[in-house]
Amino acid sequence: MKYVRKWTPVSSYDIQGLESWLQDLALQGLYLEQFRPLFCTFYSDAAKRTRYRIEPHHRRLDDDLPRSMLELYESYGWTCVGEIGRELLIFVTQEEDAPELHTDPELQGEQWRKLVRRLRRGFFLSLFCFLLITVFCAWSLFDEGAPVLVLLTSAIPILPLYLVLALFSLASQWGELQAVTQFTRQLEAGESLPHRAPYPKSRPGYLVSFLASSVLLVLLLAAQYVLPFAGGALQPVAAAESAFSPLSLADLEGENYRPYSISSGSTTDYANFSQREQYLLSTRWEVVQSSRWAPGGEDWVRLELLRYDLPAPLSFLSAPAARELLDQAMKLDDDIWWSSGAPVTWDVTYFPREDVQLLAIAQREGGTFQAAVAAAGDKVVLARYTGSAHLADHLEEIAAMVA
Amino acid sequence: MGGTGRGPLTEPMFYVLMSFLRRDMCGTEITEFVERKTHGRVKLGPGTLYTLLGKFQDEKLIQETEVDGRKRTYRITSKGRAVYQEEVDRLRSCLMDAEEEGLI
Repeated sequence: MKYVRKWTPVSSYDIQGLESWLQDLALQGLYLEQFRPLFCTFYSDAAKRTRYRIEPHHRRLDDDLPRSMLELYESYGWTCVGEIGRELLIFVTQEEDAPELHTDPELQGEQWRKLVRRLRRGFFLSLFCFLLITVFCAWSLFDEGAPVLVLLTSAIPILPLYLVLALFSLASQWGELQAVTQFTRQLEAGESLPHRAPYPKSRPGYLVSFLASSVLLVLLLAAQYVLPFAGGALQPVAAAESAFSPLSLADLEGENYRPYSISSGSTTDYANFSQREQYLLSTRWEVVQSSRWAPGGEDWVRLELLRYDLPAPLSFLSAPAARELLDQAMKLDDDIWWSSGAPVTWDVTYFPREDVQLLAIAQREGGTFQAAVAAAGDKVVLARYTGSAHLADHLEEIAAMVA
Repeated sequence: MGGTGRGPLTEPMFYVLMSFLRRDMCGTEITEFVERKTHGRVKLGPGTLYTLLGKFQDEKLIQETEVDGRKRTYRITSKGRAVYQEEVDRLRSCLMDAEEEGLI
């Protein structure tokens, strides 16, 4: 038997349109084999006048098809040939004398009214989900108090596109609900349904929306969970030099520099490494260098650098991103459960320079923690340091990292 | 639907209940009975009949008594008979009201 696939040109809830489309195809010798909202499968046979009728029938996940209903309909010449979304059943007959399925419009209206209620609940559930995702986006963006950094290092930029698509989908759901409500009222008023109605030749909007949703979903997951690892594994510090000139811990520490490494038998040095992470709107290099605090001691000095490359059109975000990085660096104590909880003061000094938009250094009072940020053009850098040297003595090297 | 608080029965409802008065019936027998009784004035499609049988079962006006392959047979309950009788009384009083007005 020859099978043919055809795009479904009508919405699943344009009942009369769908019945008319199926009946017209039967006159061309194509009979429904399987219904899908995007495309349907037909088998070809001799063309014959055929009647298709769509009936509401809600089926829960663990429910079988209603045997008693199908058997009763079959005894009158009507065969069930498909189901639409566990809400509608498609019946067909080629028997000229098979009676119409419904002879009491008001009673038929009662059945459709149940579907209208479920569609309405579905619409409001979708609306609730839409609002929930919108709130989640806003919360994700502002929860950490660093919206620019979240924007640059997550898949959040895709979500607004998703929300736009969701809005279109809501509008379409509302349209379907209105159409079903309208003919249900007609039935309840005692008017029989006409089984003939004009229908569109195609439904490009639905296809585009389906493809766009699928692509966006893949993009969203890839951007959030796959893309960051595209930069590869940990590499030696020198690998970062292909992108910028990292501030050197050896230069900072001078004669106090005592190389320190953690390799645990592998070739990777977990105390001195660089790693590139790729995000949708930025590339981030993380460079970590370590030195012993005292000869033979176990404590160590650490210099961590985070360098962001933004796309050129987003250069205007570099200075705000640098400020957020500095703010986060100064919240160091917030995440340490054993800290005293006493208020911690940081001294922040800004160094205006012509070659950078922002250059600032924060020093924690009563401690060795220091953080420096610099932003210029589409580049941002953060340096966090726990040694005894002063980052302020290395402004040129810090500015050079965003040059 | 007929009975106290149910409102009057529609014509198909009334005749479907009537079909069970003498004996148990299956779907096609009900349709034949109604068409014969009303001389074709009231027709029952399978959708209408299925909906009615479902409603009547939910309301316990009828009950399924036998399933033989595709054939399902139903029987009217005492509650079904009461609802039917109530509708007959209602129709009778409508008729009497019309007679009193001299319109028949």
